Amino acid sequence: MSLIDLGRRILPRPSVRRLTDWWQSLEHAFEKAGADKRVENDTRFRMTIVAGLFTVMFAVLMFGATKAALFSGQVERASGPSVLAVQRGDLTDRNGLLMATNLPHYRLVIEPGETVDRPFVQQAVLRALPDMPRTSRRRLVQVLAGDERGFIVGGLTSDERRRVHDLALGGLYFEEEDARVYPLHDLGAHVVGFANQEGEGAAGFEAAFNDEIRAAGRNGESVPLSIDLRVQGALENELEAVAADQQVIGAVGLVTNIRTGEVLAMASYPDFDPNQRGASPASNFVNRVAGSVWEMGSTFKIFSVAAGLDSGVVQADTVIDAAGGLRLGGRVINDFHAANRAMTVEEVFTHSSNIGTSRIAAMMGGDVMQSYYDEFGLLDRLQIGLAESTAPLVPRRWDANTIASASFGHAIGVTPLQMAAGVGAIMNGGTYVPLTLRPIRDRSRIQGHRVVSPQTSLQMLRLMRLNVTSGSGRRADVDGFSVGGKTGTAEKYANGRPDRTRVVSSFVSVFPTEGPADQDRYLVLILLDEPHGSAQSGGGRTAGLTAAPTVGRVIRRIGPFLGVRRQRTGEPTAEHLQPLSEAEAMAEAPR
Amino acid sequence: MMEAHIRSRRSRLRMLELSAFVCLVALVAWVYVAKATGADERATIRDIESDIRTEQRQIRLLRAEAAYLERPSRLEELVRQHTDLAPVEPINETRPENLEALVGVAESGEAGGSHEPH
Repeated sequence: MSLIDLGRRILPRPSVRRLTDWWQSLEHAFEKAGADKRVENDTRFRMTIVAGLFTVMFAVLMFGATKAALFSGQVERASGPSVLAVQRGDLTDRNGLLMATNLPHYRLVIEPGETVDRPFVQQAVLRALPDMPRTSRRRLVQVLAGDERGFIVGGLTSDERRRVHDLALGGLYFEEEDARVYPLHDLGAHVVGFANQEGEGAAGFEAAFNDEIRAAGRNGESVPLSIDLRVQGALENELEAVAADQQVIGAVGLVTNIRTGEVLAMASYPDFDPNQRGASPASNFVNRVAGSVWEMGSTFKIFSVAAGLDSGVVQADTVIDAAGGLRLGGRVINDFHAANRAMTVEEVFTHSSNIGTSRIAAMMGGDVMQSYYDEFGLLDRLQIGLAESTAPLVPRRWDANTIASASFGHAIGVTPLQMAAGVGAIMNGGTYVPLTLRPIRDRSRIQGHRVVSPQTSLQMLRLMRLNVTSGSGRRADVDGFSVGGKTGTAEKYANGRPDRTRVVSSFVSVFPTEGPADQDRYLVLILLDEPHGSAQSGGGRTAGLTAAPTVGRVIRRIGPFLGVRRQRTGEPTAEHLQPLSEAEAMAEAPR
Repeated sequence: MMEAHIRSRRSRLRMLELSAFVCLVALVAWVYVAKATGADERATIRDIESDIRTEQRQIRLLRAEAAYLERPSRLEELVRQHTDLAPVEPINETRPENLEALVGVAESGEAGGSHEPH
């Protein structure tokens, strides 16, 4: 029985019959053709052709089927989003500790048509969510008054969702959403910044690296900052303590690695909680480290003296006349701690002599000084990625009066970040390294440009140390860490005149100043805006009494975290090895 | 003779048809099995991915809670309340090369009976 006979028996329908008749006629045609004895009419030849065609068709079919069966799923998966994808990647500190993350939250949506007693629903929802913002309350009233499904409030936690869900009311729906959460609350708030409800960075690091953070989120990865949370915690802790003690209107703290340019901690007081942004006044959101400019006062003498030494105008032992006042036009420049004598450049620095620094600046001339200030990055907006980074206030004309004022930190306003970058360049061997909020993994890629010679850098390190051992920065010294630094107390202006009761006190320090030239050194900057004096500072408001001790306390705490090896250890004696009573231990613990 | 030859050819042609049909059925069956297995595997993958997402959420939540609980300010407050820990002072540090001398100092102190060993 042929296939045709089988088809006739089991498929007796007309269309199938036509098909089988056609196939039988084809078979007969082959048989007739074989009788002609021509090659093209030979049945074997035709069979070979047909078999070849079948083989090709089957091969194509097999290839397509195999591809569809085995590989189509993989292609789909390869082009789809990662299973770990979130709206924004996590932010971590340089050691992988979490600073910002995305957690599932919920949006409440109401379908008014499905509710039974609308006034009751309104009251019940308000009772379940007592902290609902005013705008959401308005939306609740509007949606319940209409007939269309509407969004009420977003960012509900699991607990809040459960409270509404337990009302067991119809027409209430929840949609899942990703919400940005800052588990450290106000710690590092200004440097981390925050993202808005649409998942776009709005301030700080979140805004500066928005695209990168979103890309990391798509791949389920995290983005590390250069911040060290241990250092950040200690800095903020000490900054808040001195801010409260001195009743300041604002304060700034900054720690950087001057060799790599990494910002290890950045604090601005007052701060805010990025999870509850509505709870803080607008002034708390100002990042004073990057977004406020100040006349820094005497800390600027670091730049002026470094420029003088590097340009060869003066040497460390060059004698400068700092007796009396320096008359410039109708103005007389005096020293805060008037020595009324000739001083070496070293003494000009450690006595913080305005007269001496003005004379060095005059010897250099405006062009040279301006050129150095430009190299130190003091005349242009600092590029660190933060949108908050503000342009400095630079004098329009560099006449003799301006040059003298600028040499000791007046007539020019810069941000603390600019200050830190410039001082770091002088102290790290003489190379300006851009500050960064990203950790440096490959130090060979650090790019910078030389601003002063290595010799000038070493001289300035020595002067900074000298100022702490025998100058105005003595209260910043920490046993074994060879701290160096410079104080700055600038009077603010009121009605165009300097006001002695309103000052900006700052201390910029570098440690360790001793040790190998190529080792990591760290910069700590504390700035207090309008300190009022306290019992702790003996009623004083100057930087040596307020900012310098704070820097010392910060260095004491962060030195071990940064792996700074003390130049000198205590080498305990038998007396030290005696066990302390608990009361003695508590009494000796540093505060 | 001729008829036998034609029958033989027809028989071979039918064998070819039959083989092609068997191949076709086998191929259809194989594709069906492959697709069905693939669908099962995709469903398994979807379940696993769903589990990963759920676990990932839990992990994120736990990490956030851990970060909240390990805030430096909180740890410092706990340390103040429950321990007498303090920052390391120079007197608490020494260099490895001085350890031997320190052991000697400690032993001589103990031998003198000036204090209790610790």
